[in-house]
Amino acid sequence: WLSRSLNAQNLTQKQSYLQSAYDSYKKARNEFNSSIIDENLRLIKYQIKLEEKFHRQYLNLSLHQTIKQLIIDKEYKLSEELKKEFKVGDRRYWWLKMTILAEMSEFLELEKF
Amino acid sequence: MSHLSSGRLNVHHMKELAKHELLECLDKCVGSKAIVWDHELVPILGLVADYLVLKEHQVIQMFELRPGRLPAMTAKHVIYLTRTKLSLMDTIGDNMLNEDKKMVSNKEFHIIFVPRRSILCERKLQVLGVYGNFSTISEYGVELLALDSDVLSMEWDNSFTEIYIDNDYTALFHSAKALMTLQTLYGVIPNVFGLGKSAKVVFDLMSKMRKELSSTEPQITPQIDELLLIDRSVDLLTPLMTQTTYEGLLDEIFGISHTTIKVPPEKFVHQNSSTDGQSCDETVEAPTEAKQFHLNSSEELFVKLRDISYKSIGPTLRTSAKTLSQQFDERHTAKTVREIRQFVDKLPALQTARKSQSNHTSLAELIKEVTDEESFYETIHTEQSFVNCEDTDKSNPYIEDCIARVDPLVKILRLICIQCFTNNGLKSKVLEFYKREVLQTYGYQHVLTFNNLEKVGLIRISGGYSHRVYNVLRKTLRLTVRDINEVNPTDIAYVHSGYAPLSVRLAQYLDHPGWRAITDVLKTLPEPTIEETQEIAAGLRKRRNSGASIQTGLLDDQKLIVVFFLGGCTYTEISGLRFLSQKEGFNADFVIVTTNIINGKTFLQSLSGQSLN
Repeated sequence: WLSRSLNAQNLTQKQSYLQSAYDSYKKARNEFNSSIIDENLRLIKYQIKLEEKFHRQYLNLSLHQTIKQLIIDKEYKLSEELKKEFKVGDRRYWWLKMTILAEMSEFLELEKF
Repeated sequence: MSHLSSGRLNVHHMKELAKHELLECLDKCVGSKAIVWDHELVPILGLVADYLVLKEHQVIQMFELRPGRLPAMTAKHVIYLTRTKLSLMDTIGDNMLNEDKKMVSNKEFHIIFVPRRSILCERKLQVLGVYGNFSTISEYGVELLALDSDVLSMEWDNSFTEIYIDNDYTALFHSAKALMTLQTLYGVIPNVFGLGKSAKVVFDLMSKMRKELSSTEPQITPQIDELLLIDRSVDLLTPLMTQTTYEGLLDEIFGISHTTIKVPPEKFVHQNSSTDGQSCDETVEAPTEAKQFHLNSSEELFVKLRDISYKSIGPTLRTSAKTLSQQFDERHTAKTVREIRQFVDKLPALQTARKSQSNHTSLAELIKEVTDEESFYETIHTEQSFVNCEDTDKSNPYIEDCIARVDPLVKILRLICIQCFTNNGLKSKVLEFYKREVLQTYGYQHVLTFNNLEKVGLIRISGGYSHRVYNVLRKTLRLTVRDINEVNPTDIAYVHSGYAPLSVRLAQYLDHPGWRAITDVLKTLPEPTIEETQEIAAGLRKRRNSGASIQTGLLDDQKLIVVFFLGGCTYTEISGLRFLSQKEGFNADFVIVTTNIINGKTFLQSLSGQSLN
């Protein structure tokens, strides 16, 4: 069963495993799971890009944690972009952004909302 | 361990048997012995025998099983006590290979498998090239461990996952074995009832084993009247609900394993320095080490506390504190020498009572910290609205908030599963929404968690044949009770602040008015239903109000029912059954047998196979 290989160490290997898991879900007509795995693949690509840009660990973080890290680094635009790309619910996104901003006492940014 | 023999069924026999068998295994090697323990077996076998007993049987050293070289040993025999797990065989192999050849030659090595030897493990040892080093390989088939006077457990972790995810029926085989042991000790159980697939499997195995024994069946008057086998899959809802009894909450918050609980020590150290003026010196411990307690019915106060709702812990503790201080005050009124002597005689008992009083007060404080939190209240509130079928068909704002707050995933999964169960499956839109939220927040690896939950039916898409099942169950079996009185409960629903565990309700209906009355409901539960009788030689049949009544005294009208949970049971279910048997007009006592004790956390944890924190 392919998705069991999710805990593969090597990155490229992981991507290829995921790809084949995606294919078999597609074959099995399990649309939800295939779309989820597609999302995961896209996230990994994003994370690779982010790592190149900021020289900081992003891989192996969940989407939520990725956005969180971006807000902490004050990359608000990028976090918005991710939100759109992955269709994160407003409620969850605002909650996240507000708590982090409040924690970092970035009240100026908070007021901009 | 006298508390074990105080119940209706003398469980002490069970323990004695287990101990006897263990020692028999050990006595096979003559001379001094060292035992290498698989560390998970230590607490389990701690329930059977303590170090002193082992010492009497020439056990001079004990080690934990670790890879690498064995520590220096002086004993002639080295005995490995291990579960049948392949990874453990690797460790043993590693031990042996690192050992000097000389050392090996002047010692004898043995392996005792618990509970049964397996060809797979032996093959593994052969592959590792160490099989020949062992002079004997045997098994120690302990099945049931007495946790308390009315609770027996196989302490078989993950049994439900093994049965329903891995399709591994070993646990069921051992359950049947355990029942056979039970029957050799307490006589054949005349009436057997059962619910669910595994109940059927176990019963079939039992009947087969009985046929094999046919001629050598023990000639004992049966002490047990009925056996009720409940497959966990019949009632998946109960383990998910938050337990609100004292013992249940302790299990939810800190985890009770093998009747032992470990709690953070701060509370206890602090409390020792500032207690009510009187010296309380015996419990000071290093604050880094977690404090350990054994929880069982030998402690009078705990017996009072364990089954009550968290709302009445406070008052109960207060009254017991009051009576305690009254008893202490008696020494002032004692005038004559005789009275003083009487007081001194009572002193040790009073002192232990005071110690347990202070321990439980601290535990109750720890619980209160949790139950006073808003999130605890909200969780209970959400659960209650679900089980009352309110707003179960759309996505729940509280669950959304919890996800946004990144609360522990177990909590969220529990709520989702409850909602799914009470709504008889969720609409695919709602379910996919939840799934996406969870996966995005906690990581995509939890696709597998959801897959497993779907496999056992905890999560499913609504529609199809099964709709409205829960509503029928709720109405006919009165699963939810409004305005429940948690301080002076009148119904078992108090154990979950208003929801009565389905499994316990079924046990209640079995006694009165009988399952015939609720056949419609039984049809909606996972099939099959068993109702069988086991034949017993006529002379052994128990006659009411005769022979047996001499032993059991006044209680002889009470039926004794063994309830066997296949796949684990919760502390609230135990509390519920205890409550039933004490209830006015209910004439049955229960002995609870289970594969293991579970709560929502451990249940989902084992199903997911991944860390859920």
